[in-house]
Amino acid sequence: MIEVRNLVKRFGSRDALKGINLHIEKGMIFALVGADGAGKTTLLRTLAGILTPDDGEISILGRDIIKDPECAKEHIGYLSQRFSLNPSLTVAENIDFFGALFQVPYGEREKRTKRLMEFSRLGPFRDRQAGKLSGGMKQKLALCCALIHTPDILLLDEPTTGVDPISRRELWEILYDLLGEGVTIVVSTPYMDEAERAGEIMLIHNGRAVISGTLDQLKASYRYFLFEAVCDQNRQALRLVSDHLGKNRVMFFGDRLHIALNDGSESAGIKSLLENSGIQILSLLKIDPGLEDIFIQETSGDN
Amino acid sequence: MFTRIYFIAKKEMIQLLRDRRTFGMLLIAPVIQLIIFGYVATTEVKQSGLALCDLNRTAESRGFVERFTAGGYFNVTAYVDGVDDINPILDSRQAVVAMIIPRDFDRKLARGDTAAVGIYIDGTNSNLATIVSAYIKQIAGEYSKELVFDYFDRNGITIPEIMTARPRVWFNPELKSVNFMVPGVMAILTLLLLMNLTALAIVREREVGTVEQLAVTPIKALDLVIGKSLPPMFIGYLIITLVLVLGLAWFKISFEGSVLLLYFLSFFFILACLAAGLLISALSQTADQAMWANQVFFIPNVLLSGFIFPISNMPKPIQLITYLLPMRYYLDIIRGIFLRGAGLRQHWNEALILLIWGLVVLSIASLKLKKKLV
Repeated sequence: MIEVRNLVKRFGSRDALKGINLHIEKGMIFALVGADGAGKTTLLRTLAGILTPDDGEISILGRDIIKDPECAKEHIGYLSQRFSLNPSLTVAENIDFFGALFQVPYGEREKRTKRLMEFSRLGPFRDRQAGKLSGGMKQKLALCCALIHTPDILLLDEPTTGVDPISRRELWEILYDLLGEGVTIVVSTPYMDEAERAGEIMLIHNGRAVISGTLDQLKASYRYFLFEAVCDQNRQALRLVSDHLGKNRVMFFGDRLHIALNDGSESAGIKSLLENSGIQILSLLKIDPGLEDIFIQETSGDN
Repeated sequence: MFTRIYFIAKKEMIQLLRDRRTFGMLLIAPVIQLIIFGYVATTEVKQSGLALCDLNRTAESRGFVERFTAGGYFNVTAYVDGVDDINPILDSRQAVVAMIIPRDFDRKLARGDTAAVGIYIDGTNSNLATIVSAYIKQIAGEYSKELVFDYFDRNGITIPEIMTARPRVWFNPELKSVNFMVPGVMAILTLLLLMNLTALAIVREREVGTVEQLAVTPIKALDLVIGKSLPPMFIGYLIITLVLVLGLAWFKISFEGSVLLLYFLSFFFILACLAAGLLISALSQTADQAMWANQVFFIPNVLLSGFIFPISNMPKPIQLITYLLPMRYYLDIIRGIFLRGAGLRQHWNEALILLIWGLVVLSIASLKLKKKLV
């Protein structure tokens, strides 16, 4: 469906993408995860055909979109990171406008608009101006506008950033529905928990794909033994462990500490290290790594 | 292609109409400007204050003074006794001109000698002084010419064919400046409003971020340019109509030509304005930049187009610059239509220049836009 080889994009002297390879199958959700400035938006924009890469190949549905950026546009729906609809047009007018630009015939446009509004629950706000919608509703409207031409591929750039938790859940429900209809979805997000919902995940860091695969594959690639500790003096404990093992091996996760150990037997050493300093350990358990632990493992070398 | 253009135009129109305040300003601006230019920006000088010192006090001297006051151009506001009294009168602005008629005025005229009348003009406002001094020369000239003809008549001499330049103003016989100003205001308002509308058209999309969403649609840069041009074009015609109606109904200006021709030839100027605005919009990164760029384009068009200062009085290099300004051609066209009743035959060449100007600039704008869209 989407095939990217050695994609390079420079902005002046800064390399935004340093040779990305990507293979996305039809009918899956593919998540791009990374910090701000990692290159997620640049990658999505090159896939959407609105940014020309400096090097590499992109093939979408078997078409070379670098040679002809127009050829795949009618099969792609793209949702940019910023809200980018016409604020003075109403919900229905916005959808109709994009439908017309994609040359969806009039009758078909009516039908699809109706369906999209049901599907996104925007029906009651049909005649409200887009600028007066809440953040979550704006995103849903933007999604409707990106779907009016029934694209095969949907590119979403941080669709849930700045959206309340309820709208976020609704948005994901919509994405699963679309997945059920066979739409291939590429979504970027800075949130690890969100990325874990995707069929495949790619971690991007400084313009490079550090790792990619299904969540299970990523977990299998985790080199350490991960322990979760709860102590009475967490802050103190963090400093001690970090001095002992290294900065990137221990981290706060809410009121817990995640400690990455080379070996299960090392846990005894940590235990005595903490207890000798008068810190009481309330629990110390081996756990499965989450995406964030994997991300830290993969990116710690660079820092 | 037509659906897309139609939908872009429709969207623009909706945006324009929903923004009530902007739309209101669009309609109020012409009215205010027209009233200002119609009433205030006049080059006629009437009822200038005249300080009179008539040392002659004869029928001849009174007749001479009457020439000045009869036309309504001068008004005797003060009587003085001699040269020494003039300064305070001019200083206190009671009069802008002082006139001293010598004691022997009538006798010198009777003898056929030169009768020198002293004229003192307040030169503080040089524009005013120039106009007033021209009036005085003209009135005095007419007076002495009549004396000469009278003299010949009385002596039974048939007047030989002497060369005289008798200017007869044809197309604006009363030299009413409002007749001259209204077409100018029409051109200026069209330029101003169209440029402001179009210069923001694309840069605003960029600022709001909508341009990115447009870029992923299969829309062509040309569709966008045409679609964005149609609503301002409609506004342009609305302004022209408004100024025309106000000018005719309120200021009773003379309109000699054909309305149809006015609308037809205005198309080419509107095209040029749109092209300039869109180019600015395509080149600007922010709305602020676009607004300033507008000023850079607008001011020379107003000052150098002949709207206020005649082009023939400008230094040669500046005259060359004026050939680049669309306003110059349009002013020629509409003044021709309004005042001379000119037809297509007189103005097709200016329309052609505007068309070429518009198309060239529009192409550059489209190309720039194409690069920015993709």
